Amino acid sequence: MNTPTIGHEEWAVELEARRDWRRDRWGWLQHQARQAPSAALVGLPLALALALALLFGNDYILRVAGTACIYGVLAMGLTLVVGQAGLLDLGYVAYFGVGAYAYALLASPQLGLHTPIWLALPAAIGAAMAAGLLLGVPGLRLNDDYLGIVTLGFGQVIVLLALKLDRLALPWAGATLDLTGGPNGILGIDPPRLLGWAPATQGHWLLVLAATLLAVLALASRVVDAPLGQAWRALREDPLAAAAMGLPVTRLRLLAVSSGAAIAGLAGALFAGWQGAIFPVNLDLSLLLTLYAAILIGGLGSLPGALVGAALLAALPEILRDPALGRALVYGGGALALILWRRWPGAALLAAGGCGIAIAASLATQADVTLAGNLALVALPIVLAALPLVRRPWQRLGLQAFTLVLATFAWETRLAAEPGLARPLLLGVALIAMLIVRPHGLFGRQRVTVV
Amino acid sequence: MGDSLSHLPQQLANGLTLGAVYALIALGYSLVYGVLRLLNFAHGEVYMVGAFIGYGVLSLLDPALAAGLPGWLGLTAMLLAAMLGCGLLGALIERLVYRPLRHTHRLAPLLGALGIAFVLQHGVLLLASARHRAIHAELILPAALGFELGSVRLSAARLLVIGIALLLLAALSLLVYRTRMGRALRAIGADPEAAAMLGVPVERVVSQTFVLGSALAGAAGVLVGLVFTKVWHLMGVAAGLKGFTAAVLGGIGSLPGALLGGLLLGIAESVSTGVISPTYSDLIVFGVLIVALLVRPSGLFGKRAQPKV
Repeated sequence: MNTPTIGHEEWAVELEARRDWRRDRWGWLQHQARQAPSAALVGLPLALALALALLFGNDYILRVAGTACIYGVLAMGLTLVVGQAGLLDLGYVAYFGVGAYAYALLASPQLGLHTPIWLALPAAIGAAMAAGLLLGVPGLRLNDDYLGIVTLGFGQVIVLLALKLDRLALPWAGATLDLTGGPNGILGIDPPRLLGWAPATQGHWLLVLAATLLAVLALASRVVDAPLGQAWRALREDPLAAAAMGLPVTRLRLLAVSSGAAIAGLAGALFAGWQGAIFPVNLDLSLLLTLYAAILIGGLGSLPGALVGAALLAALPEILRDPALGRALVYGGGALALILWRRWPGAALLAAGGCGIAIAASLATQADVTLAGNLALVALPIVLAALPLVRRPWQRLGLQAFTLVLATFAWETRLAAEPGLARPLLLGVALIAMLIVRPHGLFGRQRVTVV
Repeated sequence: MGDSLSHLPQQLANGLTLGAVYALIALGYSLVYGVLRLLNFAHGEVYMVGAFIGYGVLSLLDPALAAGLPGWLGLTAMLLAAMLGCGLLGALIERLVYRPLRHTHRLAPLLGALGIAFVLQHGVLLLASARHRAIHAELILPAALGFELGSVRLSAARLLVIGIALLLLAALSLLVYRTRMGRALRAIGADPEAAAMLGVPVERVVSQTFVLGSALAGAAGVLVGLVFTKVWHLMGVAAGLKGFTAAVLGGIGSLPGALLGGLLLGIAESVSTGVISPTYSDLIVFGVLIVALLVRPSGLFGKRAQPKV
């Protein structure tokens, strides 16, 4: 299709395609078939990975696959709110926490309650939705920046409550109630038991989580295709224009926030049941960042993209756990990224990388290099910022090589030694790099602004 | 209840100190917002880095101070190092993250800021470990120093914090309202394109704004370290939120507003800590933020911005 590069809009471009989409059941089938490839492209590898994990995986692999499913559910909910409706919700993890804690309270020895799943799960989802509405109603009057910081604060408040509500004062009873277990969390959470069957092994759990993922995917893709999804996108593009067209802006936003919260609550309840415990640590900033990175990698607003991003972000940090694999990933990925980026000549890159490894290896065997590694780490951003200032080719090449050596050195001496810190650090850097280099993600379309 | 009320004057005095620090953080938000219409979420982390630089300088100077180096020299060194270091950090953040993101997706700078906050937290964790570090403020100011006003006791450290904060505020307003750079800064805030056309070097002034705001946050970090004698890698999260609340209370983009908002918030927090409960003081601050945004989003001093169509 020949599309103009400036001033085109998704809806207008697809007008032709939409016109010959017949409005009967057969037409709906045709439409599904036309849409099939992108879904199949993502769904088939995922299904294959799932089958492989179930057939050959050990418990560790199954756990990682389960984490990927949880991330996938969460990322789809987030991409509805942020990608489709265009609301910057930085408190998303709070809804996950509310769902998890609500389920934990209803089905654990903490309060002595063991509510059956068909009651506890809806209650957890309802609690998360209530939290979403509680924040959504005042938050909807705010613009992007304010909404972002208010939701961020709300996320902190939920963590704070989880930490502090272990000594809830009950003045009328003259006692304190241990509601959340404080930093120790809630332990011994019941697995969801339905019709007498409860998941016992990691394999069972993976099936449950994957089934949830599929259900949420089916639901979310229906919503995205429905008029509701279209209204959300209109809202995202221009709230003022959407309001002028008669869309109920407030109701649409509330609907977006609460459906996102419901999905997060569901994921939270499942996570609590799966882990058998829930801690305030589970709700920290790194989960939020992981989810945002996932939906950015996949492309804001794209459901298959969110799934791919979630799978990548569940798997890659696990690879970094192993020093040898981590080294291969970092150097391989780094070199690939630089080659694809094409701004830095490859020769300098290889030479610098090689000598960096050499230097680091020779140093790492000797005395304490922590201080030097720390210095390299601090110097790295400074050198990166200085790079664009250098114009002469040879000086530029030299500085590029120096940057690479510095990066290698910092990696070898400090980051590889502390994978627990290197992973979040790399996550943050990857998020920023993703935003700069490819803001529309792998699957998202390059956005064209109407001039 | 009567007991907690008798402590009220003391709580007010403590709130003043806290408020001075919040005001310094709020100024950084306001400066950057005034120029770029950008909320620098990572500002609280810059403040945390400042506190750590102060701690590092104090540990380096430890032997010298014990050997008789005057305390005010040590304090000056701490403040200068933190302000320089944080200024550099602010320039780096602007250059490496905000500048490339300025003309992309609407949400990109905010997400980028989240990434910076995360990187800074874990970077400091990597460089300094997760231990809470104690600042030996008594090396600079003997704890016994200070004076009493009736039942209220103001330690020298607290007085010093208020004094330095006011000094920095005065210097900043001189810079913004009386110098060429300040005029350029306000011109960009009013209309970046027009300013660029009239020959204002926009990129450079934006960089300078970030340096200024971050240096103030660095100073706030050192001062907080002196009063509360503890630094740790997550101290920036709550402080950033409170600084932002203070900026919103006073009207974001307004410098006197930031001062007033900071003081109000500091007093509110310390009074509520004394009267209600120390456990929930952060929750109360968050409540203040929500109410302030709902009732008067433009703040006490801010002008109501008309959305452009």
